[in-house]
Amino acid sequence: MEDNKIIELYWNRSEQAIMETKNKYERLCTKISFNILHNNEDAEECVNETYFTVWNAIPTARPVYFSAFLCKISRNLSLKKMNYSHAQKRNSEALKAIDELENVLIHNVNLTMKLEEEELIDTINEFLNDLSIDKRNIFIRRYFFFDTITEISNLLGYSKSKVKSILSRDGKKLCNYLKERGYGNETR
Amino acid sequence: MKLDNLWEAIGKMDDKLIVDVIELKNKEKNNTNQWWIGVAVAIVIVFSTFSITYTVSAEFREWVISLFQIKETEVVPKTESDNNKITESIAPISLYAVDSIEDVFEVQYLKSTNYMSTIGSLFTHSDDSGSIKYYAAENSEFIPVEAEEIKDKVKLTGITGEIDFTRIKYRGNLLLRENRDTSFMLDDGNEAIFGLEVSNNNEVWLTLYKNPQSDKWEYWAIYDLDTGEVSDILQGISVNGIELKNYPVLRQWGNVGNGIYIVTLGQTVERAEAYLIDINGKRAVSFSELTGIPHVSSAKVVNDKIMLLESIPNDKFNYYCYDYSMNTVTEIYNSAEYWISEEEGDNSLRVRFSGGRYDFVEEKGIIYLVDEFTGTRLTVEGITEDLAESLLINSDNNKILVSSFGDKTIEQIGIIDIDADRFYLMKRENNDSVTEFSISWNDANHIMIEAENNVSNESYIYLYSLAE
Repeated sequence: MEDNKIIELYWNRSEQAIMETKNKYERLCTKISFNILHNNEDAEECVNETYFTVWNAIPTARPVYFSAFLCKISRNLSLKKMNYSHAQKRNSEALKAIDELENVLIHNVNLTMKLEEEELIDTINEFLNDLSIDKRNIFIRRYFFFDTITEISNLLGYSKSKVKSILSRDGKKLCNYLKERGYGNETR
Repeated sequence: MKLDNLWEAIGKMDDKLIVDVIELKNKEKNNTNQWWIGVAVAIVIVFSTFSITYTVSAEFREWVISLFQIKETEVVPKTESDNNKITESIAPISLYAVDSIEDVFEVQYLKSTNYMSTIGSLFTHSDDSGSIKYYAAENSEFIPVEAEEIKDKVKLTGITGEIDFTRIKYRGNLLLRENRDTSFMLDDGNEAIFGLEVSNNNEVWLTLYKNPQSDKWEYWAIYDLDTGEVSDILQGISVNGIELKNYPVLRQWGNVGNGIYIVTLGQTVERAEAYLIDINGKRAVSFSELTGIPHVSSAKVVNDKIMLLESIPNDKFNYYCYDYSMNTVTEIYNSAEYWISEEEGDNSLRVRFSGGRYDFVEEKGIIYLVDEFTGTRLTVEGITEDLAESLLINSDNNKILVSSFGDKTIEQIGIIDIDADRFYLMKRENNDSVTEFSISWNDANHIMIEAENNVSNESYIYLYSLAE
């Protein structure tokens, strides 16, 4: 079913909306959630919570990109759950990805202060738009979807070392991007 | 998470960026009735029932490569005087000028007495007697490199002939250059010739070509340069009970790796089909059988993917990306036709293949660059039909060279840098009395223009690279 029809169902408060969302996007949401939580039950729980959140959100929000809207909710709920869960943390792909990027950034950029969120989002969008298509794809697959290096290399036909090297270079590029905009400058 | 607000910000990136990534990822559709080759990254042929995933390409998604028009026109420096020689060398080749054009193109201008060309990273020079010497550019000098002649009588599939090659070893790389035409006539009146080449896994292939002009039949073996031993590793492999060497059409070999090769074979060119050959297991299986695509008439290997072309009526074709490590087949072009210069199409999608990962296509008068792995279309600002028809892709599959020829010189060169999303286009002039006769990639990062002066016999090479 087309996304706009699914959204119409939500607007009409039809429970079929959840069924259609499940049919079309369950795999995508589960994949993100599993990458973060590394636990089937927790991932399933988060995906169900995603549908519930969408059900409550859509009367006030009308997403233009429904798939991205779902992904963001799944990712957000799963990261929150991961922060409260300690048992599965060790194998989470998300934690590996987070460590990987934070290791590049932490010594150079001070983001520990709560900065203007909108400004930071704009900076991230600007940075991503400046990357080439493949590099942007790699960055988003790794740090938004938390895909493994192997999955990304298979998807794009690159060697794992090439993917790692691109991520490392783009992490440094992000670091410079943030520094140029004043992050890490304590007088800011 | 130490940088919580960063991860929150990444989680709130522009929806469009997320959707683009989702659309590039394959949608799955199972077909469980295929005979299949089990192929992990290390490819092992195992005949078994397996599932294959089919996807539709993301070709509707359009991206833009922006034009960077270089304002300065390159003027090739004059060569009349030796005073402008930069390198001091006993070699008959010299670097006579360098230039940086708007900090985009770095150019090196080389000249030589008599004919000069390149092989791999080396330069070749022929003297008046036709004797060829090899030089490496090291520390602003041209250093002679040793070469060794290989003359041998060889025999393959019962046919005997000669090879006459030069073997050059430089910095661990093996290079082979043919010295003379050693073609000969077979008893049946057909012409044949043996060739030697270094394969992409550093084996030396001895290839027998029958009627080389027709490009219908080639059969290869491993050749030991030191002992002259020929190992016919294709022997004993049959398709439908007929040994490979006995097919009238046997061509378009490609190396997938780990002892797996691709080839197109059949009784006629029209009916020939592409196969996957397992040298170690002495087995062959058609791509039609593997993928369910009815008639795969040719295949090529690009990085770790295999591109499949399915001929359909009216000289049209469908084209697919077969990712053997993921068990997916993605349709890239549907009912397309070849883009042939000066031929009008019938409003179908026309494809100008590069031989590598990216092609130019034209549809409804609009030209796009297409990624053969995903079907993604890229609009290239400033591209014209003439430039698109000249495309040459580099060996890394990340830069495309386009150019336009004038009467005696190349008037424009452009590089589409895929990773940078930029199309660098430059006008040029060469007021010296020389004829520029070829343009090509010299390696993954250098473009080479070859030129000659018909009066003085001097020859020239201009090397261009994008500034770092």
